[in-house]
Amino acid sequence: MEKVPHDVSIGGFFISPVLVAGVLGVMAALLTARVLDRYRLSRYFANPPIVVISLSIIYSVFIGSVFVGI
Amino acid sequence: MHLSRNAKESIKIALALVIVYAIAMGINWEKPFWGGFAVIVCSQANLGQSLNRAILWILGTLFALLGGWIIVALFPQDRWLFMIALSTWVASCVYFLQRSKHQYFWMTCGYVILLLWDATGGDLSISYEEGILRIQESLLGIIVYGLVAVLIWPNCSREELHQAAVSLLDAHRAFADRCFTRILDRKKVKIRREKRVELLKADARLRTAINDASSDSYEIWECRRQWNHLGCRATAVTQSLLKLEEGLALSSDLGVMKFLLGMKDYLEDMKSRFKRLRFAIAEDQLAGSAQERVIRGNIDKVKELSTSETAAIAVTRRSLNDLEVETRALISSVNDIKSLGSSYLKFPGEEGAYWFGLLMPDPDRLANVVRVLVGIWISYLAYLFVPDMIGGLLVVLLITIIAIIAAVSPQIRLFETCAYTILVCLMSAPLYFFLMPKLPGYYTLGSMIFVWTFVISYFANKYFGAQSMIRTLVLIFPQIIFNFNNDQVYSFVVYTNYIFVLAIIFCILAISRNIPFSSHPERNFKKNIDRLLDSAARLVVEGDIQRLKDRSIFHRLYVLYHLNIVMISHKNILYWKEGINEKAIKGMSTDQMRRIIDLLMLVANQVKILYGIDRSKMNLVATKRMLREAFIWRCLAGKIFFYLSGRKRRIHIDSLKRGYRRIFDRANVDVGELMELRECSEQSKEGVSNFLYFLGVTHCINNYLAEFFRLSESVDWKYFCEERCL
Repeated sequence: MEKVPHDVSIGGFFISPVLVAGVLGVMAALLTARVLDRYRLSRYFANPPIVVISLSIIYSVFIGSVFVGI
Repeated sequence: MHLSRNAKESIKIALALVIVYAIAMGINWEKPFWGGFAVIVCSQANLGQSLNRAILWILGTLFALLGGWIIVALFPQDRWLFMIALSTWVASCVYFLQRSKHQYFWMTCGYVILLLWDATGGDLSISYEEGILRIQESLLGIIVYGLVAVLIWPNCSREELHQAAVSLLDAHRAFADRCFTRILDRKKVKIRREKRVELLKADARLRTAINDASSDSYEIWECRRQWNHLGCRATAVTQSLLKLEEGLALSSDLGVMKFLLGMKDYLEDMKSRFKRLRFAIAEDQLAGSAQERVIRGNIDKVKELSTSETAAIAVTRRSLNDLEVETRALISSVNDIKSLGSSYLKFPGEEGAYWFGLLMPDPDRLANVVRVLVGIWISYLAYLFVPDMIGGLLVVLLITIIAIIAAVSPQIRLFETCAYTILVCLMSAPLYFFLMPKLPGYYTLGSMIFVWTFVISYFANKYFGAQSMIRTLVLIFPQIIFNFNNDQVYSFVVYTNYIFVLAIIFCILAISRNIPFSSHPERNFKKNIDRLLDSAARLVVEGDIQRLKDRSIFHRLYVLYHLNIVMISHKNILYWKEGINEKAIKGMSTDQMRRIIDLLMLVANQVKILYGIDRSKMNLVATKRMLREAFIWRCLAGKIFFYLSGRKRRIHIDSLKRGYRRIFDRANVDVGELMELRECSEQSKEGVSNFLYFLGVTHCINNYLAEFFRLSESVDWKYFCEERCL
């Protein structure tokens, strides 16, 4: 179920939901990239450096639409 | 209280920024940030470097302004033609900046044109007023920083020049002493990498110090030609010493003293020359004079040796004579500095080699040009076609600036740079939101700017170095966010937008860095090794300068291209090696990597020497059969080089060894005859000497190739080059 877009309040600070989704997306992508490197799975990608950016975008959109609401 | 150099430099940059903002805001200039930008970029390790940058900044800005107006005048109505012209301009600047002595000039030319375009909102007009305003603001930053650097704790380069010259001469002396002791003790010389690297570093330090001191010291400026000449001659001595070590690695255990005449006097004389040189520079005195001295072979004794041993002696003899010539020239250059002499006029300048290197196509440089252009075009197309794109033209501008800086240091870790820059921007948030709105006037704002800049500059200098890209970015980005001016606005949206702009910029750069091919350090390291071996193969097979005169211009360019690759590839390999994380190397050990780099340096040196041997003189004496064997050796060595460079050919190192034995077997038969030929004329004497030298060089190349082959086979190149996500 998609969330309704709304600002996220952190200690009274209203932060854009895109920022929250972006930060969480990047963190998830970094974690995934580390796991891929650890188990030598990066070699199966044509261009591993692009994988982090692509994963960041995929995760951000996913987290944004499912959990945060953008 | 004793302050460290780092603390002093950080105070200077912080103070200069406070003054620049005070003046710019006092005059009510639109964007005082550009003055601050000039201060950050000009602040360097010493006064000379800062002044050099300041001069190049002004010249680059003026040149870019001129170029900008010409482009606007030519394409005022067409967005695409304008952008193509702009890209061509930036591409030329990026191409030249990578080999230029005046890197900062080209860097400024490249991005100031976009800066002016951005200032006018990208409306295809670079107005006169905007241009002049930018220059004024930049000049303010440069003048203020220059004055602060000169008046407060001036870090003059003259003392550094003195120390650099003395330490190079000490390194020369120690290196030569080690070689001479081995000759006297008749012990085998082992090529010691760390000593060679030490020597080359001391040499590079002197060249940088001469450049810096010429800018900030009037006394050095007065005799800059003499100092530059000393730099050239000192480099020549360094190269001669390296060649001597390579030669002695083959011959020192044979007993060089027995086969070369006048060695004892020679060694004494050379030791005295190095001692006098060091004393003259350290005490600022004349170095005296040096008599010409030529080492000759003891023919009767040499006849007892095998051909390979004769060749080794020939290489050593040539190296010793070269060293004698170069130290004599170095003594003259030291005397010139004291007496303002002009012996430098007798030597050809370095300009020819410089222009040759600057204009010659180089795949690495071209790839960097493509990376910058891809970055610019992605951001420009996004600006045009993405509605309400965050940052707009600022993204195009910042991408150009970062991509140009990255072109000079492509081994930088983009992720690390991005992380630190965003971290510092996040750290600036409390100041921007909570402190700045409450500041009553410029005194308090100035204090805040001072403390912030000092802290960031101090830690950035400490952990990344005064000239690192991360230091420049972590100082610049918070300034963009703070955007100090008289109509200060505080907006959470603006702040968040800037963080997003940063993220977008690094995303685009991460993509553009992989076009046309990856900038992964390990891959580029291997690519440069392959390129060096490939060019070495072509030069070994080609091998004659004289014949070129009869050939087409295209063939000459082909040879010059490969010669250039052999000359620069070792530097490129070291350059990419810096980007490799030695703790996380895969597929080879750190020691293996060092040995590979050493061997490649030796191979490149020997291939250059081999190519330079005047074969037309050699042909006068060598019999046709010997020349045929030499030709076969060239073909075999070429094939091995091709094989090692990754071109899969059916060849084995044993076949090279067979070819190598053949040429020596052949020469062994005729060596006596060759020695007799020496007596015929001066020309034949030179021819014999050249032929023996050729044999010695082939001997070196064979040894290095055999070792490199073994090393290369023991390395898992595929695993080494494997790219990772992070």
